[in-house]
Amino acid sequence: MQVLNDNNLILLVRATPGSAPAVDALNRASRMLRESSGELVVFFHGAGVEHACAPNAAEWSPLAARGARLEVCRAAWQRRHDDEPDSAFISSSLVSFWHRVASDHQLACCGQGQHASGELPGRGWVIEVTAPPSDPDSREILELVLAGASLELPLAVIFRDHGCSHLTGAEARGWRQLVDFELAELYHCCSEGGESDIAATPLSRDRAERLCETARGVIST
Amino acid sequence: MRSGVLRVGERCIELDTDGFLRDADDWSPDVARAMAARDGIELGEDHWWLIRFVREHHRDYDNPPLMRVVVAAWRQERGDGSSRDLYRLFPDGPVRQACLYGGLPRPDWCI
Repeated sequence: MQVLNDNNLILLVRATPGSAPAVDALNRASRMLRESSGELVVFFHGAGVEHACAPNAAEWSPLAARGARLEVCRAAWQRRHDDEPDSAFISSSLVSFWHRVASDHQLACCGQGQHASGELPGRGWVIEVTAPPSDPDSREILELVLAGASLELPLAVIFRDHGCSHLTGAEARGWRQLVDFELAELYHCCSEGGESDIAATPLSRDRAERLCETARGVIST
Repeated sequence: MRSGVLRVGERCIELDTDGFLRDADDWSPDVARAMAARDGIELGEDHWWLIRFVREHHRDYDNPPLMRVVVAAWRQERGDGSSRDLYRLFPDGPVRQACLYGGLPRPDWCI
């Protein structure tokens, strides 16, 4: 039987190497290793998988030597590379990521935008989509949600700012399955009267903030 | 390695290293039957239901369905059932094999 440990942490890194959120992620991971007795897993997804190859891997590999488990999303990696990740990194899956999040790891996130983490107990996880559609990022964010949905986890997706562009036209196609098959709750904080081809529920910014505050974890993309 | 050419009637169909069609336009029910036969599977009514479901889902959403979505649809269709029924049809992964014989791209996600 797995022993639950409140100190276990999983840090999601989607930011490109050299960006401010990526630097923040590295500092945060180092701090977690220093201050926490639990297991630290760093999961690299989307553009964040670029940390798993030279020269960026050299920044992270000392953390592996200190006990951190560095996992790379296999699909995101294979879309960008023909070779294997650096030896300090382990190929993993989004389902494995969510399994850890749902079982015994507290989620922290350093995405392309500012990270956020829910600290109050809530009923599910929130994924904020704030970036405009781009390839393959849009698809990988959707995959992140679908992977959680495959484990029947309670998920809410909030589209805001530039993320509102996902709600119309061809971009909306993949997201629509979340509504059609009740895989996740969809919300948007887009301008009133703005077009949407998906039945996402409009949400005021205040209510969106409250939803994030009460979530078990927030992933900001 | 399962790449090569599959002969279906007078046609030569090119397959990639995982046995998926190189050109989705090559797909037809005869091609599906030939691909499945190569793996020792004779496609019956239930196989075809699954292949059609996955093809339609891919057409509508641009990705294969989650297993839980397929199971829910299967139950709705049959009134009962579980993922075990689907694995009996396609033991190597119901959605993946339905993509394979349905002429869809190899799912490249890790779900």
